[in-house]
Amino acid sequence: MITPGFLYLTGALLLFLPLHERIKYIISFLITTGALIVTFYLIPGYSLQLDFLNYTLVPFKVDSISKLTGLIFAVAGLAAVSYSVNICSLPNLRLIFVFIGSALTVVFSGDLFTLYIFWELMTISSSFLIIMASDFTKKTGYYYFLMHVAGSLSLLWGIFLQYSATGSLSLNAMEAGIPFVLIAIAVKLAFVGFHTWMPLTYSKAPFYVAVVLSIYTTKVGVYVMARLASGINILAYAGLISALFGIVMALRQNQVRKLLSYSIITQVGYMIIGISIGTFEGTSGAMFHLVNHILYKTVLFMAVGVVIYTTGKDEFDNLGIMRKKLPLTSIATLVAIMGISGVPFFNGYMSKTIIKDALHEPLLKLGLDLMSFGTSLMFLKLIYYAFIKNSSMNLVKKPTISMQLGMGLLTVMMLLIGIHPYLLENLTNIHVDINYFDKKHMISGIKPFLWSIAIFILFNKYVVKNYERLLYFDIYRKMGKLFVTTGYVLSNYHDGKLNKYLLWATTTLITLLLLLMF
Amino acid sequence: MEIAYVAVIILFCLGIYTIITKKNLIKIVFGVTIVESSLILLLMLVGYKPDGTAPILDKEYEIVVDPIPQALALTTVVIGGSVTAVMLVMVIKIHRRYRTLNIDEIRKLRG
Amino acid sequence: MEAAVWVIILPLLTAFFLGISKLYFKRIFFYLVTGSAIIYLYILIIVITHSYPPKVYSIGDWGLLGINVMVDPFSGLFLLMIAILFLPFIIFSMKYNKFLKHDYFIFAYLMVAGISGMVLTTDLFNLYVFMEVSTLSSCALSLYKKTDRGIEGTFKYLIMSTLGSFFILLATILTYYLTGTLNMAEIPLAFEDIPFKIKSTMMTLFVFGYAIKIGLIPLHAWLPDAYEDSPIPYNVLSSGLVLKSAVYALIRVLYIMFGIDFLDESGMLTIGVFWGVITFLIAHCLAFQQSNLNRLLAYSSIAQIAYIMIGLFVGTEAGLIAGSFHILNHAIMKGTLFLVVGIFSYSLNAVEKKDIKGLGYKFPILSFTFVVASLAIVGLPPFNGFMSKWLIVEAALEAGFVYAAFFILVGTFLSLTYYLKVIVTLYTKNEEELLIEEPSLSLKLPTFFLGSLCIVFGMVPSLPLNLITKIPTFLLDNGDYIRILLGG
Repeated sequence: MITPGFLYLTGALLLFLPLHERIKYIISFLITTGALIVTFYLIPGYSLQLDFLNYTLVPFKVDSISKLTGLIFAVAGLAAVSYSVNICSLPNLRLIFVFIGSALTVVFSGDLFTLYIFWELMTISSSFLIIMASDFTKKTGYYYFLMHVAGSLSLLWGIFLQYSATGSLSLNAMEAGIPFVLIAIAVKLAFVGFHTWMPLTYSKAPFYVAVVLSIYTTKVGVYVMARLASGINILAYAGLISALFGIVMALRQNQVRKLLSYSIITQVGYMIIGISIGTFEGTSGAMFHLVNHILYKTVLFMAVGVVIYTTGKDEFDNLGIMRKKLPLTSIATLVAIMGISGVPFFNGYMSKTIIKDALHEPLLKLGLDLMSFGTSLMFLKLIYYAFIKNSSMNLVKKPTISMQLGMGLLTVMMLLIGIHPYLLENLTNIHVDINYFDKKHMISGIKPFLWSIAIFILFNKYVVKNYERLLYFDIYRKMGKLFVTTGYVLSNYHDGKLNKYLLWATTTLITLLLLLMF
Repeated sequence: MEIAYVAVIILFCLGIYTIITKKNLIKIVFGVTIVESSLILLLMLVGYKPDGTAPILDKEYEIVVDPIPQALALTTVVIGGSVTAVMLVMVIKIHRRYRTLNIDEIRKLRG
Repeated sequence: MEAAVWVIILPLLTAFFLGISKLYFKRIFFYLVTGSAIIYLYILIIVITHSYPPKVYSIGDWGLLGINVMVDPFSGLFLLMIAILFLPFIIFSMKYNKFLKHDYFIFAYLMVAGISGMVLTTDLFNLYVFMEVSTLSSCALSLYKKTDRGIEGTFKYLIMSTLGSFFILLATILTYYLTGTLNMAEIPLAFEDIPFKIKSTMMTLFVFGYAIKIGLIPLHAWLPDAYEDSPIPYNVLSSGLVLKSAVYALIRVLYIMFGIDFLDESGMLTIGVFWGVITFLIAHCLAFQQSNLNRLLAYSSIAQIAYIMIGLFVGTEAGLIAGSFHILNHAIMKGTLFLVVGIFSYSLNAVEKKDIKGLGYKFPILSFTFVVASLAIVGLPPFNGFMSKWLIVEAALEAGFVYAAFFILVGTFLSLTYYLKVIVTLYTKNEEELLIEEPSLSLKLPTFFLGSLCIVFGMVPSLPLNLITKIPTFLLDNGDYIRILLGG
């Protein structure tokens, strides 16, 4: 059976052939739609076994959660590839294919070994995507790569601990080494304290790279968390803190893509809360939220990408071009913003309602309302710049058709899910017993949004102010400095004096003698 | 007998000491040869038997010294000779390039 | 005569005839060098395929008194490494040395003769002799460029390694004094009556001597010096074979002569693992500081050999397999890296990190090979370095060396820092006009061959592991080895 991840990886190999421009489009189209169709017809319960060294690996295993995630990954892959196919260069397209392919394989992996290998492959391909993408992203790519490899090595250590404790590599909730796995996941999903790579990367990388990365990187973290570390109740509070931190930081940004990155941190907070409840409702709410979040956040990144493509920058002022010159993009952006704010009849409302229903602690419920409120507030700022404030921007060039196609596809899906939330449930046979459109849920959904409008109008001048960049303290750079200084000191001992080297040798001999004799 | 072993130890330590502390390249090579000779001496002592003669398999000679260490000693001499030769060649080359024999001034390689 | 004996004789003969051809028949030089390398490859393959079950070949009719040659899986692994590296090395050097120099190939063949002798011999003193042969010819090769730095580095290398040799020779003589034999099979039998303290002194001398040749920190100072300004194809053999042959000798001596029980009892295993951990941590710190690529790769070699030491000193079956696998993988990965650097230095004289700026766009496929090999050596999947590191970590955890396993992962991270820096430099755009001499196919082909092995052994590790899994049988339990060698 052909797995979707395998399809993408083959696609990457096919792109190595000497290609004509048009064949590039055909291959991309065939692979992406093919993967979508294959994922659509997967039967939950199917699995594939493979003997490798002394282990029995399960490189492919389908159940309802992985099917749901895989499906949205495939849809987003189709959209993202068609969005970026005629902007990016061929090597980058290959890397994008490897990246998407390994993300899909992680989702369908049935054991820790496969999971780790493709998790690492995601890191490698995305880092090279960033490094190769432009001249300004070399250092960013370096930072991103190191950070993610640190995370994945932590995962590897967790896997080793688990393996030596239980002797099996199967993909169940971890029994040993949970802290290490949590660190790995925290890096991947940009948990507060481990998030430093994210605003940096997403604001510096070329916009199509940011689109592709924002779809998969954090979401794979969420998926793996649901697999390996679900139901740790204390983490719900951690998610809440992370989300609130995201809101505060997002409100202070001057660059649209930085705002979007911090808003990812906030949205991931919802998913962390959902997963850490541990119940069926909680987890499925988190997964549905993952689907919805991919839809609207991708559209937002794509819309900002269009703005960058047409005007050259992603300052807030440049957004003003949307209302006048880019009607389709404006509609997509509006739909996405409604979705992310959780307004009823848009897609974000559905998953937020499920998570809120699954919660029982009053403090967390309050926090969730606060999060919705903050999210709405920060996107009102976006709306203000895009549609209310006057601007005198001019189009430099027109957005390409394939860009608008990618965006349009996702917008239509958002609208469908928003109007008919049972669509997702029916598709994957995950049934949550909730009536979405009764009075109680509707009111609790719309309340934070209305509040935020009121606050926005009242405190307009604080929200739309241009804030100075916070001088933030990056502990990872400090640690790097320590490592470099140690190396420098050690290197200075090697000053070329042979006598010194020989003295070291004799000292070693004496030490060895002492150690082994006594 | 014992005194010969003591001589081996003294020679060996002396040679190592020379290699480690001396700054002059020629002296370092001397140190190497001293260690070498001490090891050859040790080889001879290992095979030595009191009143033994050369290892000739004949009924006339009842006590013969062990032949194997002698063969080893020969090999060691050859190897030691070639090592010393290579070292001296390098000393000449270094002297031509750096115009000095002081090891402390021959330190372009650092870090 | 048996093929195994020809493994040692053929390179010696070739070296001899190369010398003659220099004097009289200059025209046959090329055919002699390549032809002999190809025949050598053929012989090696025959010997490797017959390495299990182990066989003993006696030279002359002297039985145990004479010179014996033994092929077992562990020596088979090293022959495999020679087979993989030597022909690419010859093809590469043909082009790389812009003027054909006879002595270069003479010394190369002598060096390989020495290494194959070390790997095959069963006699402690022969081991020493072959080691000296390989060391001296390796010195001659690293001197080959005759630059200031080259000479200085080689001098330091020669002094340090001679110091090591002295201690090995001393230990060999003392062994003979104590046991009255130099045959590897008879020594352990005679060793049983020797007091513990004397045995551990002997072991210290051996370990110290070989550790200098391996370059464990703080005995490593000669290694980067010797690499810095030597011909780069030589570095491939040096890091791939010369260092590894010292590892081979050390492991052979420790496991066969002293036995695993004694190693465990005397604490050598613990010391070995701890020494390995210290070594790679410091070596990674130092490698980050280097601006010269050769030096950087040299420090990385030190670190990788430390991983190998950890694998081999864990003292279990899994550890030996993992360490041996990493020996093979490191030879391939480091070979690829050195060859790519060699092409850079051939085409535009670039050996400093800043010189290679922007070459990623000039040589896309070569740079891709470099990236693959460096990711492999860092230990990221799906390349071969990851497989062997996984096995090493697993073995260390199994044997209870939890700290070693943890620090190997830390080391992986540290090694990424400097390799990634090189890669990023490679892909940074350079505005300057570069004068590039286009590398020919005979330079690229060996590089791509080794580079593709990195991927193949990563995807299908069972290919080399078929041979490697048989290694522990004849190392862990020295009884088997002794019985075969004594002809039982």
